[in-house]
Amino acid sequence: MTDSLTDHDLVAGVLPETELFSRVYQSLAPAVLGYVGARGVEDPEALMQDVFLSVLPRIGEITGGVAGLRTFVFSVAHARVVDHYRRVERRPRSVDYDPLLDMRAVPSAEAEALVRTGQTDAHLLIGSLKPEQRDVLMLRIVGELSVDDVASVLGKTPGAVKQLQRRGLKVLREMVSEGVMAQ
Amino acid sequence: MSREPIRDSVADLLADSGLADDGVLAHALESLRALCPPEAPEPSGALADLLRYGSEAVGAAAPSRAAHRAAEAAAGNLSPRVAPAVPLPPRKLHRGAAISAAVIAGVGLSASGVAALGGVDYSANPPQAEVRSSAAAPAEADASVPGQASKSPDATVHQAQAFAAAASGGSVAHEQPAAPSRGASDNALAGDGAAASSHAVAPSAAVWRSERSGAARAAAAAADDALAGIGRDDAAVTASQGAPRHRADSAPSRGRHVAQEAAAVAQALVAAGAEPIKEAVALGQQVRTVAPSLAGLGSRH
Repeated sequence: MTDSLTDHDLVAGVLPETELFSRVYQSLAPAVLGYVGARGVEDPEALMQDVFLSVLPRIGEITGGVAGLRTFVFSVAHARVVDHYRRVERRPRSVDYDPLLDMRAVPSAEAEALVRTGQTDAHLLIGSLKPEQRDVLMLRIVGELSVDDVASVLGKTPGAVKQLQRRGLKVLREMVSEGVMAQ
Repeated sequence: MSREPIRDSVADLLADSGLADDGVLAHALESLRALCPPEAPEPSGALADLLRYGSEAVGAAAPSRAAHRAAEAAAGNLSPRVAPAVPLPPRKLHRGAAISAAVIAGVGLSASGVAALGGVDYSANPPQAEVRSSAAAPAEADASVPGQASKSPDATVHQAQAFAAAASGGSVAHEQPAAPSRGASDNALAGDGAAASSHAVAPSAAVWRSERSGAARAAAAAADDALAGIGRDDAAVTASQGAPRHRADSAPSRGRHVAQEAAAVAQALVAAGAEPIKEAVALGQQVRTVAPSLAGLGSRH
Protein backbone atom coordinates (compact mmCIF):
# COMPACT_ATOMS: atom_id res chain seq x y z
CA MET A 1 0.00 0.00 0.00
CA THR A 2 2.44 2.64 1.13
CA ASP A 3 5.51 0.75 0.13
CA SER A 4 6.24 3.30 -2.49
CA LEU A 5 5.87 6.22 -0.10
CA THR A 6 8.54 7.08 2.43
CA ASP A 7 9.09 9.82 4.96
CA HIS A 8 11.82 11.18 2.73
CA ASP A 9 9.35 11.66 -0.07
CA LEU A 10 7.24 13.94 2.11
CA VAL A 11 10.07 16.35 2.76
CA ALA A 12 9.40 19.58 0.96
CA GLY A 13 11.27 19.93 -2.31
CA VAL A 14 12.33 16.30 -2.66
CA LEU A 15 9.64 15.46 -5.16
CA PRO A 16 7.77 17.70 -7.54
CA GLU A 17 4.33 18.53 -6.31
CA THR A 18 2.43 16.64 -8.98
CA GLU A 19 4.52 13.53 -8.47
CA LEU A 20 4.12 13.72 -4.70
CA PHE A 21 0.38 14.07 -5.07
CA SER A 22 0.20 11.10 -7.39
CA ARG A 23 2.32 8.94 -5.13
CA VAL A 24 0.26 9.79 -2.09
CA TYR A 25 -2.92 9.12 -3.97
CA GLN A 26 -1.75 5.81 -5.37
CA SER A 27 -0.56 4.71 -1.96
CA LEU A 28 -3.52 5.64 0.21
CA ALA A 29 -6.54 5.70 -2.10
CA PRO A 30 -7.21 1.92 -2.02
CA ALA A 31 -7.25 1.85 1.79
CA VAL A 32 -9.44 4.92 1.99
CA LEU A 33 -11.80 3.47 -0.59
CA GLY A 34 -11.98 0.21 1.34
CA TYR A 35 -12.68 1.99 4.59
CA VAL A 36 -15.39 4.20 3.10
CA GLY A 37 -16.90 1.23 1.28
CA ALA A 38 -16.97 -0.82 4.46
CA ARG A 39 -19.00 1.93 6.09
CA GLY A 40 -21.68 1.46 3.46
CA VAL A 41 -21.47 4.84 1.77
CA GLU A 42 -23.48 4.89 -1.46
CA ASP A 43 -20.80 6.41 -3.63
CA PRO A 44 -17.51 5.60 -1.91
CA GLU A 45 -15.35 6.62 -4.82
CA ALA A 46 -16.75 10.16 -4.96
CA LEU A 47 -16.28 10.51 -1.24
CA MET A 48 -12.73 9.21 -1.47
CA GLN A 49 -11.90 11.72 -4.18
CA ASP A 50 -13.36 14.53 -2.10
CA VAL A 51 -11.13 13.45 0.78
CA PHE A 52 -8.02 13.68 -1.36
CA LEU A 53 -9.11 17.00 -2.78
CA SER A 54 -8.96 18.46 0.70
CA VAL A 55 -5.90 16.51 1.87
CA LEU A 56 -3.42 16.93 -0.96
CA PRO A 57 -3.14 20.75 -0.83
CA ARG A 58 -2.34 20.43 2.91
CA ILE A 59 0.49 17.95 2.65
CA GLY A 60 3.02 20.65 3.44
CA GLU A 61 1.34 21.33 6.82
CA ILE A 62 1.33 17.72 7.98
CA THR A 63 3.96 16.50 10.43
CA GLY A 64 4.93 13.00 11.46
CA GLY A 65 5.96 11.54 8.12
CA VAL A 66 3.95 8.77 6.50
CA ALA A 67 2.30 7.77 9.78
CA GLY A 68 1.16 11.33 10.39
CA LEU A 69 -0.11 11.59 6.84
CA ARG A 70 -2.00 8.31 7.17
CA THR A 71 -3.61 9.44 10.42
CA PHE A 72 -4.56 12.76 8.86
CA VAL A 73 -6.07 11.15 5.77
CA PHE A 74 -8.16 8.70 7.74
CA SER A 75 -9.26 11.43 10.15
CA VAL A 76 -10.64 13.38 7.21
CA ALA A 77 -12.20 10.24 5.73
CA HIS A 78 -13.88 9.33 9.01
CA ALA A 79 -15.22 12.85 9.44
CA ARG A 80 -16.58 12.81 5.90
CA VAL A 81 -18.32 9.49 6.48
CA VAL A 82 -19.91 10.75 9.68
CA ASP A 83 -20.97 13.92 7.91
CA HIS A 84 -22.40 11.89 5.06
CA TYR A 85 -24.60 9.84 7.34
CA ARG A 86 -25.75 12.90 9.23
CA ARG A 87 -26.79 14.50 5.99
CA VAL A 88 -28.59 11.37 4.86
CA GLU A 89 -30.49 11.13 8.14
CA ARG A 90 -31.42 14.79 8.00
CA ARG A 91 -32.63 14.73 4.43
CA PRO A 92 -34.63 11.67 3.46
CA ARG A 93 -33.77 10.57 -0.02
CA SER A 94 -36.50 10.87 -2.63
CA VAL A 95 -36.17 8.73 -5.75
CA ASP A 96 -38.49 7.72 -8.49
CA TYR A 97 -40.30 4.45 -8.09
CA ASP A 98 -38.47 1.48 -9.49
CA PRO A 99 -40.10 -1.94 -9.21
CA LEU A 100 -36.71 -3.54 -8.97
CA LEU A 101 -35.91 -1.46 -5.86
CA ASP A 102 -39.20 -2.11 -4.12
CA MET A 103 -38.18 -3.80 -0.90
CA ARG A 104 -41.73 -4.88 -0.16
CA ALA A 105 -41.44 -7.50 -2.83
CA VAL A 106 -40.25 -10.85 -1.57
CA PRO A 107 -37.20 -11.98 -3.51
CA SER A 108 -37.18 -15.31 -5.08
CA ALA A 109 -34.83 -18.05 -3.99
CA GLU A 110 -32.85 -17.61 -7.16
CA ALA A 111 -32.37 -13.88 -6.60
CA GLU A 112 -31.41 -14.46 -3.02
CA ALA A 113 -28.78 -16.98 -4.03
CA LEU A 114 -27.37 -14.54 -6.54
CA VAL A 115 -27.13 -11.81 -3.92
CA ARG A 116 -25.39 -14.10 -1.50
CA THR A 117 -22.86 -15.20 -4.02
CA GLY A 118 -22.15 -11.56 -4.81
CA GLN A 119 -21.32 -10.83 -1.18
CA THR A 120 -17.85 -11.53 0.00
CA ASP A 121 -16.91 -13.06 3.29
CA ALA A 122 -15.50 -9.70 4.31
CA HIS A 123 -18.84 -7.99 3.83
CA LEU A 124 -20.58 -10.62 5.91
CA LEU A 125 -18.02 -10.33 8.64
CA ILE A 126 -17.97 -6.57 8.73
CA GLY A 127 -21.74 -6.37 8.53
CA SER A 128 -22.07 -8.38 11.71
CA LEU A 129 -20.17 -5.81 13.75
CA LYS A 130 -21.45 -2.72 15.41
CA PRO A 131 -20.44 0.55 13.72
CA GLU A 132 -17.81 1.49 16.29
CA GLN A 133 -16.30 -2.00 16.30
CA ARG A 134 -16.28 -1.88 12.52
CA ASP A 135 -14.47 1.45 12.53
CA VAL A 136 -11.80 0.21 14.88
CA LEU A 137 -11.11 -3.03 13.05
CA MET A 138 -11.09 -1.38 9.64
CA LEU A 139 -8.75 1.38 10.73
CA ARG A 140 -6.47 -1.14 12.41
CA ILE A 141 -6.39 -3.63 9.53
CA VAL A 142 -7.04 -1.66 6.36
CA GLY A 143 -5.72 1.68 7.52
CA GLU A 144 -2.77 0.09 9.35
CA LEU A 145 -3.10 2.53 12.20
CA SER A 146 -1.92 1.92 15.74
CA VAL A 147 -4.24 1.96 18.71
CA ASP A 148 -3.24 5.49 19.60
CA ASP A 149 -3.77 6.68 16.03
CA VAL A 150 -7.19 5.04 15.90
CA ALA A 151 -8.06 6.71 19.20
CA SER A 152 -6.99 10.05 17.72
CA VAL A 153 -9.05 9.52 14.59
CA LEU A 154 -12.19 8.43 16.43
CA GLY A 155 -11.80 10.87 19.29
CA LYS A 156 -11.68 8.14 21.92
CA THR A 157 -9.20 6.97 24.50
CA PRO A 158 -6.79 4.14 23.70
CA GLY A 159 -8.46 2.04 26.38
CA ALA A 160 -11.83 2.46 24.72
CA VAL A 161 -10.33 1.52 21.36
CA LYS A 162 -8.81 -1.64 22.81
CA GLN A 163 -12.13 -2.56 24.37
CA LEU A 164 -13.97 -2.09 21.07
CA GLN A 165 -11.29 -4.08 19.29
CA ARG A 166 -11.55 -6.94 21.78
CA ARG A 167 -15.33 -7.10 21.50
CA GLY A 168 -15.21 -6.93 17.70
CA LEU A 169 -12.77 -9.78 17.53
CA LYS A 170 -14.95 -11.79 19.88
CA VAL A 171 -17.96 -11.31 17.59
CA LEU A 172 -15.90 -12.26 14.55
CA ARG A 173 -14.62 -15.34 16.34
CA GLU A 174 -18.15 -16.45 17.08
CA MET A 175 -19.15 -15.84 13.48
CA VAL A 176 -16.24 -17.88 12.22
CA SER A 177 -16.97 -20.72 14.60
CA GLU A 178 -20.62 -20.76 13.45
CA GLY A 179 -19.51 -21.41 9.90
CA VAL A 180 -20.27 -18.10 8.23
CA MET A 181 -17.00 -18.40 6.41
CA ALA A 182 -18.17 -21.69 4.91
CA GLN A 183 -20.33 -19.77 2.47
CA MET B 1 -0.99 -3.05 -3.53
CA SER B 2 1.15 -5.27 -1.36
CA ARG B 3 -0.55 -7.79 0.90
CA GLU B 4 2.21 -8.00 3.47
CA PRO B 5 1.20 -4.88 5.39
CA ILE B 6 -2.30 -6.24 5.92
CA ARG B 7 -0.89 -9.51 7.19
CA ASP B 8 1.38 -7.60 9.51
CA SER B 9 -1.45 -5.46 10.77
CA VAL B 10 -3.59 -8.55 11.36
CA ALA B 11 -0.77 -10.18 13.29
CA ASP B 12 -0.33 -7.06 15.39
CA LEU B 13 -4.04 -6.86 16.03
CA LEU B 14 -4.26 -10.46 17.15
CA ALA B 15 -1.17 -10.10 19.29
CA ASP B 16 -2.64 -7.05 21.01
CA SER B 17 -5.76 -9.00 21.88
CA GLY B 18 -3.93 -12.16 22.93
CA LEU B 19 -5.22 -14.18 19.96
CA ALA B 20 -1.98 -14.60 18.06
CA ASP B 21 -2.45 -18.35 17.84
CA ASP B 22 -5.95 -18.18 16.39
CA GLY B 23 -5.30 -19.13 12.77
CA VAL B 24 -8.95 -19.25 11.77
CA LEU B 25 -9.61 -15.74 13.00
CA ALA B 26 -6.42 -14.51 11.33
CA HIS B 27 -7.62 -15.98 8.07
CA ALA B 28 -10.99 -14.29 8.47
CA LEU B 29 -9.36 -10.94 9.15
CA GLU B 30 -7.07 -11.27 6.18
CA SER B 31 -10.13 -11.69 4.05
CA LEU B 32 -10.97 -8.08 4.80
CA ARG B 33 -8.42 -7.07 2.23
CA ALA B 34 -11.04 -7.88 -0.33
CA LEU B 35 -12.67 -4.60 0.65
CA CYS B 36 -9.72 -2.68 -0.72
CA PRO B 37 -9.27 -2.56 -4.48
CA PRO B 38 -5.86 -3.72 -5.67
CA GLU B 39 -5.19 -0.42 -7.39
CA ALA B 40 -6.33 3.10 -6.84
CA PRO B 41 -9.19 4.06 -9.14
CA GLU B 42 -8.48 6.56 -11.84
CA PRO B 43 -9.11 10.06 -10.55
CA SER B 44 -11.71 12.10 -12.26
CA GLY B 45 -12.87 15.65 -12.39
CA ALA B 46 -11.24 18.08 -10.00
CA LEU B 47 -8.98 15.49 -8.46
CA ALA B 48 -7.58 14.57 -11.83
CA ASP B 49 -6.80 18.24 -12.46
CA LEU B 50 -5.14 18.50 -9.10
CA LEU B 51 -2.95 15.47 -9.73
CA ARG B 52 -2.07 16.66 -13.18
CA TYR B 53 -1.43 20.35 -12.53
CA GLY B 54 -0.69 20.49 -8.86
CA SER B 55 -1.99 23.09 -6.45
CA GLU B 56 -2.14 25.63 -9.25
CA ALA B 57 -5.39 23.96 -10.22
CA VAL B 58 -6.86 24.25 -6.75
CA GLY B 59 -8.90 27.26 -7.76
CA ALA B 60 -10.79 25.11 -10.20
CA ALA B 61 -10.76 22.01 -8.02
CA ALA B 62 -11.88 23.15 -4.61
CA PRO B 63 -13.07 20.43 -2.26
CA SER B 64 -16.54 20.43 -0.85
CA ARG B 65 -17.28 22.52 2.22
CA ALA B 66 -17.69 19.38 4.30
CA ALA B 67 -14.31 18.07 3.20
CA HIS B 68 -12.71 21.43 3.88
CA ARG B 69 -14.25 21.51 7.36
CA ALA B 70 -13.12 17.97 8.03
CA ALA B 71 -9.58 18.79 6.96
CA GLU B 72 -9.54 21.88 9.16
CA ALA B 73 -10.77 19.90 12.15
CA ALA B 74 -8.30 17.09 11.58
CA ALA B 75 -5.42 19.52 11.19
CA GLY B 76 -6.44 21.23 14.41
CA ASN B 77 -6.71 17.97 16.31
CA LEU B 78 -3.50 16.46 15.04
CA SER B 79 -1.31 19.54 15.26
CA PRO B 80 1.08 19.47 18.21
CA ARG B 81 0.12 21.47 21.22
CA VAL B 82 2.44 24.45 21.54
CA ALA B 83 2.73 26.51 24.69
CA PRO B 84 1.57 30.10 24.24
CA ALA B 85 4.41 32.40 23.23
CA VAL B 86 3.07 35.28 25.34
CA PRO B 87 2.81 34.28 29.00
CA LEU B 88 -0.28 35.19 30.92
CA PRO B 89 -0.06 38.22 33.23
CA PRO B 90 0.39 37.43 36.94
CA ARG B 91 -3.10 38.56 37.81
CA LYS B 92 -4.49 35.94 35.48
CA LEU B 93 -2.08 33.29 36.66
CA HIS B 94 -3.06 33.82 40.33
CA ARG B 95 -6.71 34.58 39.73
CA GLY B 96 -7.78 31.29 41.31
CA ALA B 97 -5.71 31.88 44.43
CA ALA B 98 -7.07 35.41 44.80
CA ILE B 99 -10.66 34.26 44.46
CA SER B 100 -10.04 31.48 46.99
CA ALA B 101 -8.55 33.89 49.51
CA ALA B 102 -11.49 36.28 49.10
CA VAL B 103 -13.99 33.46 49.61
CA ILE B 104 -12.19 32.21 52.71
CA ALA B 105 -12.04 35.71 54.16
CA GLY B 106 -15.72 36.25 53.51
CA VAL B 107 -16.70 32.99 55.14
CA GLY B 108 -14.51 33.76 58.15
CA LEU B 109 -16.01 37.20 58.62
CA SER B 110 -19.52 35.80 58.30
CA ALA B 111 -18.86 33.10 60.88
CA SER B 112 -17.32 35.53 63.33
CA GLY B 113 -20.21 37.93 62.84
CA VAL B 114 -22.76 35.25 63.57
CA ALA B 115 -20.81 34.18 66.63
CA ALA B 116 -20.68 37.77 67.85
CA LEU B 117 -24.42 38.23 67.46
CA GLY B 118 -25.57 34.94 68.92
CA GLY B 119 -22.82 34.06 71.33
CA VAL B 120 -22.19 34.62 75.01
CA ASP B 121 -23.87 37.53 76.75
CA TYR B 122 -21.27 39.43 78.72
CA SER B 123 -23.67 41.99 80.16
CA ALA B 124 -23.37 40.32 83.56
CA ASN B 125 -19.71 41.14 83.76
CA PRO B 126 -19.24 43.23 86.92
CA PRO B 127 -16.73 45.72 85.45
CA GLN B 128 -19.06 46.47 82.59
CA ALA B 129 -21.92 46.84 85.04
CA GLU B 130 -19.92 49.43 86.93
CA VAL B 131 -19.26 51.35 83.77
CA ARG B 132 -22.92 51.24 82.85
CA SER B 133 -23.89 52.44 86.32
CA SER B 134 -21.54 55.33 86.12
CA ALA B 135 -22.69 56.14 82.61
CA ALA B 136 -26.36 55.97 83.55
CA ALA B 137 -26.06 58.60 86.26
CA PRO B 138 -23.19 60.90 85.41
CA ALA B 139 -24.88 63.98 86.79
CA GLU B 140 -25.65 62.32 90.07
CA ALA B 141 -22.14 60.98 90.36
CA ASP B 142 -20.72 64.41 89.68
CA ALA B 143 -23.01 65.92 92.24
CA SER B 144 -21.93 63.47 94.90
CA VAL B 145 -18.49 62.60 96.12
CA PRO B 146 -15.91 62.57 93.30
CA GLY B 147 -14.76 59.06 92.37
CA GLN B 148 -17.86 57.45 93.74
CA ALA B 149 -18.74 55.98 90.37
CA SER B 150 -15.86 53.58 90.69
CA LYS B 151 -17.20 52.07 93.88
CA SER B 152 -18.84 48.69 93.87
CA PRO B 153 -22.66 48.52 93.92
CA ASP B 154 -22.70 46.90 97.34
CA ALA B 155 -20.55 49.63 98.77
CA THR B 156 -22.88 52.17 97.23
CA VAL B 157 -25.88 50.58 98.85
CA HIS B 158 -24.13 50.45 102.17
CA GLN B 159 -23.19 54.06 101.72
CA ALA B 160 -26.83 54.87 101.09
CA GLN B 161 -27.74 53.05 104.27
CA ALA B 162 -25.13 55.01 106.14
CA PHE B 163 -26.51 58.26 104.77
CA ALA B 164 -29.98 57.20 105.78
CA ALA B 165 -28.81 56.33 109.27
CA ALA B 166 -27.00 59.62 109.58
CA ALA B 167 -30.03 61.49 108.42
CA SER B 168 -32.19 59.74 110.97
CA GLY B 169 -29.71 60.46 113.75
CA GLY B 170 -28.48 56.88 114.23
CA SER B 171 -24.86 55.82 114.11
CA VAL B 172 -23.69 53.39 111.52
CA ALA B 173 -20.21 52.02 111.84
CA HIS B 174 -18.76 52.12 108.34
CA GLU B 175 -15.47 52.62 106.74
CA GLN B 176 -16.95 55.19 104.41
CA PRO B 177 -17.31 58.72 105.70
CA ALA B 178 -21.02 58.22 105.34
CA ALA B 179 -22.13 59.99 108.51
CA PRO B 180 -21.96 63.61 107.71
CA SER B 181 -22.79 66.17 110.28
CA ARG B 182 -25.21 68.95 109.80
CA GLY B 183 -22.41 71.17 108.70
CA ALA B 184 -21.18 68.64 106.19
CA SER B 185 -24.63 68.35 104.77
CA ASP B 186 -24.84 72.03 104.55
CA ASN B 187 -21.51 72.12 102.81
CA ALA B 188 -22.71 69.49 100.37
CA LEU B 189 -25.79 71.53 99.80
CA ALA B 190 -23.74 74.63 99.40
CA GLY B 191 -21.70 72.92 96.73
CA ASP B 192 -24.78 72.29 94.65
CA GLY B 193 -26.18 75.02 92.46
CA ALA B 194 -29.67 73.87 93.18
CA ALA B 195 -28.98 73.93 96.88
CA ALA B 196 -28.18 77.61 96.72
CA SER B 197 -31.65 78.29 95.55
CA SER B 198 -33.03 76.01 98.27
CA HIS B 199 -31.30 78.18 100.83
CA ALA B 200 -33.14 81.14 99.48
CA VAL B 201 -36.48 79.38 100.06
CA ALA B 202 -35.35 77.19 102.91
CA PRO B 203 -37.98 75.21 104.79
CA SER B 204 -37.87 74.94 108.47
CA ALA B 205 -35.06 72.77 109.85
CA ALA B 206 -37.35 70.23 111.52
CA VAL B 207 -39.46 69.74 108.42
CA TRP B 208 -36.46 69.53 106.19
CA ARG B 209 -34.74 67.02 108.49
CA SER B 210 -37.80 64.85 108.84
CA GLU B 211 -38.44 64.87 105.11
CA ARG B 212 -34.84 64.10 104.35
CA SER B 213 -34.62 61.34 106.88
CA GLY B 214 -37.81 59.79 105.56
CA ALA B 215 -36.56 59.88 102.00
CA ALA B 216 -33.28 58.40 103.06
CA ARG B 217 -35.01 55.62 104.91
CA ALA B 218 -37.15 54.91 101.87
CA ALA B 219 -34.10 54.80 99.65
CA ALA B 220 -32.36 52.51 102.08
CA ALA B 221 -35.41 50.27 102.26
CA ALA B 222 -35.53 50.17 98.46
CA ALA B 223 -31.88 49.26 98.36
CA ASP B 224 -32.47 46.51 100.92
CA ASP B 225 -35.34 45.18 98.85
CA ALA B 226 -33.19 45.25 95.74
CA LEU B 227 -30.48 43.32 97.51
CA ALA B 228 -33.04 40.84 98.78
CA GLY B 229 -34.38 40.43 95.25
CA ILE B 230 -30.88 39.90 93.98
CA GLY B 231 -30.39 37.24 96.58
CA ARG B 232 -33.60 35.55 95.54
CA ASP B 233 -32.56 35.71 91.87
CA ASP B 234 -29.26 34.10 92.58
CA ALA B 235 -30.85 31.44 94.75
CA ALA B 236 -33.46 30.67 92.11
CA VAL B 237 -30.93 30.46 89.35
CA THR B 238 -28.62 28.31 91.40
CA ALA B 239 -31.44 26.00 92.40
CA SER B 240 -32.88 25.64 88.90
CA GLN B 241 -29.57 25.03 87.12
CA GLY B 242 -26.86 22.61 87.92
CA ALA B 243 -24.32 24.48 85.87
CA PRO B 244 -24.38 28.17 85.02
CA ARG B 245 -25.68 29.02 81.59
CA HIS B 246 -24.82 32.00 79.56
CA ARG B 247 -28.17 33.18 78.34
CA ALA B 248 -30.43 31.92 81.13
CA ASP B 249 -29.06 34.20 83.82
CA SER B 250 -29.43 37.36 81.80
CA ALA B 251 -32.77 38.36 83.31
CA PRO B 252 -31.70 38.15 86.98
CA SER B 253 -28.50 39.91 86.14
CA ARG B 254 -30.42 42.64 84.42
CA GLY B 255 -32.71 42.98 87.43
CA ARG B 256 -29.70 43.14 89.63
CA HIS B 257 -28.20 45.92 87.61
CA VAL B 258 -31.42 47.89 87.58
CA ALA B 259 -31.62 47.60 91.32
CA GLN B 260 -28.02 48.63 91.71
CA GLU B 261 -28.48 51.61 89.47
CA ALA B 262 -31.58 52.64 91.34
CA ALA B 263 -29.76 52.35 94.61
CA ALA B 264 -26.91 54.40 93.24
CA VAL B 265 -29.30 57.10 92.09
CA ALA B 266 -31.03 57.13 95.43
CA GLN B 267 -27.74 57.35 97.24
CA ALA B 268 -26.63 60.19 95.06
CA LEU B 269 -29.83 62.07 95.67
CA VAL B 270 -29.62 61.54 99.40
CA ALA B 271 -26.00 62.62 99.43
CA ALA B 272 -26.75 65.75 97.52
CA GLY B 273 -29.76 66.60 99.61
CA ALA B 274 -31.38 68.02 96.55
CA GLU B 275 -34.97 68.88 96.14
CA PRO B 276 -36.28 65.89 94.20
CA ILE B 277 -36.04 63.62 97.17
CA LYS B 278 -39.57 62.57 96.52
CA GLU B 279 -38.49 61.29 93.17
CA ALA B 280 -35.91 59.16 94.90
CA VAL B 281 -38.63 57.82 97.16
CA ALA B 282 -40.77 57.03 94.16
CA LEU B 283 -37.85 55.39 92.44
CA GLY B 284 -37.22 53.29 95.49
CA GLN B 285 -40.86 52.25 95.49
CA GLN B 286 -40.57 51.30 91.82
CA VAL B 287 -37.52 49.27 92.54
CA ARG B 288 -39.39 47.53 95.31
CA THR B 289 -42.17 46.59 92.94
CA VAL B 290 -39.93 45.61 90.04
CA ALA B 291 -37.45 43.49 91.93
CA PRO B 292 -39.85 40.58 92.70
CA SER B 293 -41.02 40.40 89.08
CA LEU B 294 -37.46 40.36 87.87
CA ALA B 295 -36.69 37.67 90.37
CA GLY B 296 -39.60 35.63 89.04
CA LEU B 297 -38.44 36.20 85.48
CA GLY B 298 -34.98 34.99 86.35
CA SER B 299 -36.32 31.93 88.06
CA ARG B 300 -38.37 31.04 84.96
CA HIS B 301 -35.25 31.19 82.80
